[in-house]
Amino acid sequence: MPFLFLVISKTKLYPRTVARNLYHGGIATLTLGCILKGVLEIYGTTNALADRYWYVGIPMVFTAVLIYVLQSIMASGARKGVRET
Amino acid sequence: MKYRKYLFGIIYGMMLAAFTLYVVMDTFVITRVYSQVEEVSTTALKSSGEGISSGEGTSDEEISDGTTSSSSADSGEDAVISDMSYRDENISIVIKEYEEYDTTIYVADIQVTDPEYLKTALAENAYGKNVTDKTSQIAEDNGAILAVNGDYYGTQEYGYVLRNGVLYRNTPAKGREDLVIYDDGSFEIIKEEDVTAEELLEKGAVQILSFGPALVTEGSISVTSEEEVGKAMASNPRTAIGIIDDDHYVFVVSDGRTDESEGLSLYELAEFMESLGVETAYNLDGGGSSTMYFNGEIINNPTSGGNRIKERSVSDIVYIGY
Repeated sequence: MPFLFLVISKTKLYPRTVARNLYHGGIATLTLGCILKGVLEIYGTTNALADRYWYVGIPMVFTAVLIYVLQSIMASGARKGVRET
Repeated sequence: MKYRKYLFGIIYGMMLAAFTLYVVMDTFVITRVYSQVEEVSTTALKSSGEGISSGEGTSDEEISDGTTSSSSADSGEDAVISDMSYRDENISIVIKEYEEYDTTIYVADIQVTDPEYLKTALAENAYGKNVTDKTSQIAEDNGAILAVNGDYYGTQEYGYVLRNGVLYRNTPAKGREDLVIYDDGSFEIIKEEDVTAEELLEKGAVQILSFGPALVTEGSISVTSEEEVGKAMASNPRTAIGIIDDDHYVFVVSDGRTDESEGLSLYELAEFMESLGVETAYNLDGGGSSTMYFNGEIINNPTSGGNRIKERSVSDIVYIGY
């Protein structure tokens, strides 16, 4: 879905591989976590291990977005010919 | 070589799948025994049913016919046992069938001379995760005369577990209502967030059942129509336990999920318990777990999905026995 935003904003900057991988991996982790928690809830039980999906998934997505933001800052800095401080 | 692009995805995907599989196995399959129950009572090998003997086996509810049955229950001297009743000098049990709310409901009316005959037992005499056994098997292992399934503590990570005076788990589950049975045989409904298990133990608690909700307190219904246990369907097989007055208890099990018996909602169950005249009533694990065992036989029709009548393995039972 964020790719939709990119298209709309007409950026020519496509996220680099690291950011993409982290992002997809993070989303997959969170999705799987949600499904698993849902299954456990319907069965009527809990498992503390299932929380690890959040601990891994959220930082992954956050890092991915961060890398992309840094990447776009650096790119626009280069375009303007200004070095980043 | 162009697979290199997908290497991260493949490896990470496999790791994710493996971890998920492990979590599922840990929740449902992997058995972990945390402690064994200490043997304090005699085994089921003690002599059984030698009261009054007669040629034939069963009769109906006529107690005067006095038949023995080949049960593995420990019986008192001169135990008079029939299909639906049991009487000796300490314990009297009468089982009646009711048809209400399109459902068959089995009520075991119990009178004892001492609350020590109301007990609980764990599957395989061990406390742990995924340690389960059929209600009938646990009952036989412990020489139970009458037994119903308990609160299935095994599926929960939190909730007080106190059985026969031994505390196995003292971590509270938020918002959970428990049934506390004291050494004098009285019942009390408590909320786990209000009191610690140790405090209850000090007050003389011998059993804590953690499932809920409470159905009847102080003689009147205490469950609202909206309350349901987890995401379960409204009409279900149910198990409940209640106290009418001193040393006078009821174990109630209903059928459900079949064409013959629709099942009960929690409110209907509470209404039914109230009609029996209970002072306090508590809901235990229902659905496929609901089982009533009496004298070597399963009285109700336990089913998980409604298509097969089959006992489910549970982690604990509540029973009457020596």
